[in-house]
Amino acid sequence: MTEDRDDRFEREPRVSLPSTETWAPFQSTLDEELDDGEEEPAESRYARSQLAFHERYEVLGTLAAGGMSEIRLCRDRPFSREIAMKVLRQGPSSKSGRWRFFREARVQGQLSHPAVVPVYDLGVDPSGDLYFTMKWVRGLRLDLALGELREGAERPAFTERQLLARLAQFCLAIHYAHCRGVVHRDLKPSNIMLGEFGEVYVLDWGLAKVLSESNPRYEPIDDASGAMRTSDGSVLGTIGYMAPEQLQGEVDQVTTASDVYSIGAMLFELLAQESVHRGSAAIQALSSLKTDGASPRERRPDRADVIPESLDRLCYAALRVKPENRLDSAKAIADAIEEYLTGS
Amino acid sequence: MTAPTSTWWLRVSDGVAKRITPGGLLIGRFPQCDVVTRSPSSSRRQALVYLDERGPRVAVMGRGTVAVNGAAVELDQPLDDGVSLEVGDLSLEVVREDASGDEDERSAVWVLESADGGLFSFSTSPFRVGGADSDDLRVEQWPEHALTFRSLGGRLEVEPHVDATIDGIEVSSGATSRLRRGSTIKIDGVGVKIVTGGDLGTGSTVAIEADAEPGARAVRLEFLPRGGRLHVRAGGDEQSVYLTDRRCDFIAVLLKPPPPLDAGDFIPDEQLWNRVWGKQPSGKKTLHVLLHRLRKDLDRVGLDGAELLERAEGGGATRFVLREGARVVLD
Repeated sequence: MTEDRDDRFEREPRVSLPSTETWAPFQSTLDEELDDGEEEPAESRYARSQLAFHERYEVLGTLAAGGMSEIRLCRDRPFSREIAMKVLRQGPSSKSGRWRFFREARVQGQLSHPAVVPVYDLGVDPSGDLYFTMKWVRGLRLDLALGELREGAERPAFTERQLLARLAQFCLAIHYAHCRGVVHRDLKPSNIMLGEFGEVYVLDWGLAKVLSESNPRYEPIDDASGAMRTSDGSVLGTIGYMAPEQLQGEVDQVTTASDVYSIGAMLFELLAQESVHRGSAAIQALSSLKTDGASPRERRPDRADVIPESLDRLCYAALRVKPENRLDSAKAIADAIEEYLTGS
Repeated sequence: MTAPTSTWWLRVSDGVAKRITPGGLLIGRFPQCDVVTRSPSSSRRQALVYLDERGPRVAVMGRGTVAVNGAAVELDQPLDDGVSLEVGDLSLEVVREDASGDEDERSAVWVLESADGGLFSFSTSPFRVGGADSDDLRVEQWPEHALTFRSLGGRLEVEPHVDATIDGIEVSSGATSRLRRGSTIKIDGVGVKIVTGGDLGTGSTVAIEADAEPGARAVRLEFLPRGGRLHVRAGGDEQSVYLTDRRCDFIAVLLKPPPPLDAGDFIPDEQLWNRVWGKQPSGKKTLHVLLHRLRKDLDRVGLDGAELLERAEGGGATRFVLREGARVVLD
């Protein structure tokens, strides 16, 4: 794990995973057993102990929906503010799905950084669905900003130089997470939101891995049965951005260097104005495993004069196949970009 | 391009609709039925509407009227979109809903590594590997059409057409085996390795869990007047499928074999023949066909049929694979 830190700064504690006791109120017993008892589910008891859901929140609409969860726009009545509520839909969710959701809220809630969307509340709604609320962030996703550049928009929201500056900010946020023992595992342009006033937000911590202090390659999930530990062979991430070790399901090899690979893929996309791994999923999978370092200048000789050599080298170093050969610090990328931008 | 997927619903007259699943909707007076009728002329369990690989069907379970568009149903028959189904005094309508074409489509992608380190990917199924020009991937040292890979619901199976080893274990020609990321298949000392694969898609996040310990954690076989419903909890949530008479009997013998055998043990073919067919069938083919269909039934609901219903090495016995401490209920 990276320890590229300045000791003059006061340190925050490492992120910790929930204990079984903390998790218990959220754990549905409904689908755990084949028999169905009459006892009131734990969620209901928990929900009743909270300020009545509808007294606090007014659901205004749906912002996004995925297979397992959706994000709703809500009014938080006591504060008279609009917030985002991520809800795990009960239907398809399994015990491990609920655990992951709870973990996501916990990890995101413990990361206190301007680039991590703050979590306000965690609970169970009247239909028994787990939810957590967070700041509603607005802006332009990096994938859309990159699309504008790629298509040669006359007045793009962000210039290439501005995006480089934002990427450096983003790298520092990831470095912060790494220093607190968290690997995001799903960094990609659509998980980065750029605000109009200089904000950068890293979204979706649902696949985050928490590294232990003693052994950064071991994920100490508090689960007696071991059923919820990400086991070797699991493939988590997004093809085209995930590191080769993620693609091959080498879970114990996934470290901060895996996030560095994903950042490298995004930097490549910004410099070359095309994805490092292109084509169908099959071709992207092959390309991810075969391409040991990638140079935006070589890919786009027509743009070689506008791609800084230092950043080209940085891309190459971040996109090495073997993690041990790869640049292992997000801060190193931030520093290199900063150096280029300031001309120092 | 994949065929459009359909969802089938059973619409009750008052506008309530229930989704038709492979596990089926049980209709009758029994309070635990999925659709309950109060008609005294109806049976406790009168009909089951279920989904097989071709579409919805209705199976008559008890006495009383079961009719499709006014014509009485004898035992079991398919149901078309829009037909009216009468069960006792209940009038129900079968409705098909086609999936919209803009849903996120994912296709399984697999990457193979040859002995010399070459990487090859494929997303078509079946995918043949062997020494012939007509094979999808040519391995010169191998006989023609040596392996057939099949991708099923994000899982990968291989059928060797010659003797092979998978991760060092000998596999006979014609036997289908489940593969995992990292598995190596060798023929005559020359191997290919499955580097990665699954429903990877593009652009969207994937979370493909590793193959858990094989076998079911809980199994319940619910006997019905005809056939039964099998409820299985393997890796994730419980899955249910309706099994017709003989398939249900077959599973029942595997889950409750004659002593001293126990659920999860390999049950010799003779026991299966005697209890399912009542006599020795003319050849092994009958048993293999039934086993093949049962595995397909399990595959259809997202379970791994080949993994759950395992043949003994060299044949001669079959078992329902259970995890240690698995709960087995027959009711």
